[in-house]
Amino acid sequence: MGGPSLSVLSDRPERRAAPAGRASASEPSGDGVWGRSHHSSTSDPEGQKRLNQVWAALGAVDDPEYPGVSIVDLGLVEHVRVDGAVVEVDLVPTFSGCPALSFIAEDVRTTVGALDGVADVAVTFVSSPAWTPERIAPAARRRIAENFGVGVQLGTKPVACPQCGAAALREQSLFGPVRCRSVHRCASCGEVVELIR
Amino acid sequence: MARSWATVAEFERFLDEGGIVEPVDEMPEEYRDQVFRFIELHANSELMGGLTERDWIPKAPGLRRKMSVLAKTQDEIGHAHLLYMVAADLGVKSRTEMLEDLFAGKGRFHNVFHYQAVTWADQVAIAYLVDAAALISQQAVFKHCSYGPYKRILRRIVAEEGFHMRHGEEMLLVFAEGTDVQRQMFQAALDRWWWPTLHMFGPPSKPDDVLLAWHIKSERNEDLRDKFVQKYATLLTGYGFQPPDPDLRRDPDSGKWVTGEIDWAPLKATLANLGPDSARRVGDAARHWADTRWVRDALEARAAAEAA
Repeated sequence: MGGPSLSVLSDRPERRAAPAGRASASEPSGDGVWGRSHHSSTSDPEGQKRLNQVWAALGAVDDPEYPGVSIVDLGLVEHVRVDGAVVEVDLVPTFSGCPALSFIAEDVRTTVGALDGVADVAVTFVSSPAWTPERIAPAARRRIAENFGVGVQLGTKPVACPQCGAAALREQSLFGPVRCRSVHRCASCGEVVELIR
Repeated sequence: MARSWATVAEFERFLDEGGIVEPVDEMPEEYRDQVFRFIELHANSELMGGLTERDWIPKAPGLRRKMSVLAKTQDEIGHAHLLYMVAADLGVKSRTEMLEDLFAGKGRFHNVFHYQAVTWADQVAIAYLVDAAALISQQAVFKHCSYGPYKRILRRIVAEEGFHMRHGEEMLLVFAEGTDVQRQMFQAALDRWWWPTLHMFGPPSKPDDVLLAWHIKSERNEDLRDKFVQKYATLLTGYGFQPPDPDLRRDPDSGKWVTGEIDWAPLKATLANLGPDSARRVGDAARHWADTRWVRDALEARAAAEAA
């Protein structure tokens, strides 16, 4: 199960007790491919339908800094639980000090709360597992590169320059305008590139 | 592959057809110079804006606001960092030369950073009004800018400024829905920041403005200012605040907002680094630069040792 919630950011930190029907903490986390490792759980058959609706709704919540890229694409959604009219969403922050967290929580509450039959939405940020760039869906990685010129650093694998495609990025500084990105220069085309790390 | 143009007219035709210029291209020297000055002004403004924001980290009310001020400071310093790299690539001035000019009082930065933010409500007014005005300007540049590396940096800056604006709106609502004291505080801040925000768009564009002719900018200053006024005069008066312009009114025929006459003298003063808070701002920035010299020296020494 998740680690301690970042209570200052959570709307209802006291709700950390796991409700009935929650997926086991030791459930295998899949093969590491995006999407497979994310848990969902529900306590009734009708809930399964709602669960699917909630995931679809979350897929329409964009990250505030990447319009057109959803929080599901970015791998921020760790767990969704449906218990009757109550929906609980666990989110993994990219960085614990990320200033977008409160807006993301607000957007999740608004979007999921608008679904038929949902009376209450609880959003919790969990500190475990840690977010890694591998959680970003492959299709979203391409979209981020094309739309924002931002690459995704997976482990120590060389990243192709979003501008020219050469694997010749040289780090300029560990931090860029946001905590989750570093600044690089492409030795081939000269482009100034940022990488999500 | 570097491209070149035999005549300026040919270059202009390329730009008119939506052509994008890259650093390796043999662009006309005046184009290079204009693009450079434009990006240098933007970079300086991000840096000075970041330093202003930084002043409020210890004073921000509550942890959430402190996080947002911290993040905005990093955002703006980070934008300056990217922009200085892109500007330096044009070969007009090195990054160090740009910074040293700025700290010597010879650089230019946006007028709004030549004023003092007196209370937290001033920071809210800056986040709500100045960030919105900056975003309107940057979106217009981003849409059609003919200089490739700048356009590509702007797509990220625009996405991030949109997020700043959301912070500004949220903070404004706290004051708008707050006590009489809070509402008065915001009104006082609005009295200080309304005109500088309108000035920020610049005086009306000249018919022969090369920035427009070369598609470095795509919209006239007065049109962008009007866009801002239409939206924000409606919002502010809707919240019960009054911009400090006794002649601000809705035209009965068009329903559009019309401002009183704009006094450009304060803008001219800031352009000469003679604004109300210019000396302190530049002095503080210069002191930070001097105080952190040992960090740069250490980094250079390490780089030199690694290269040897």
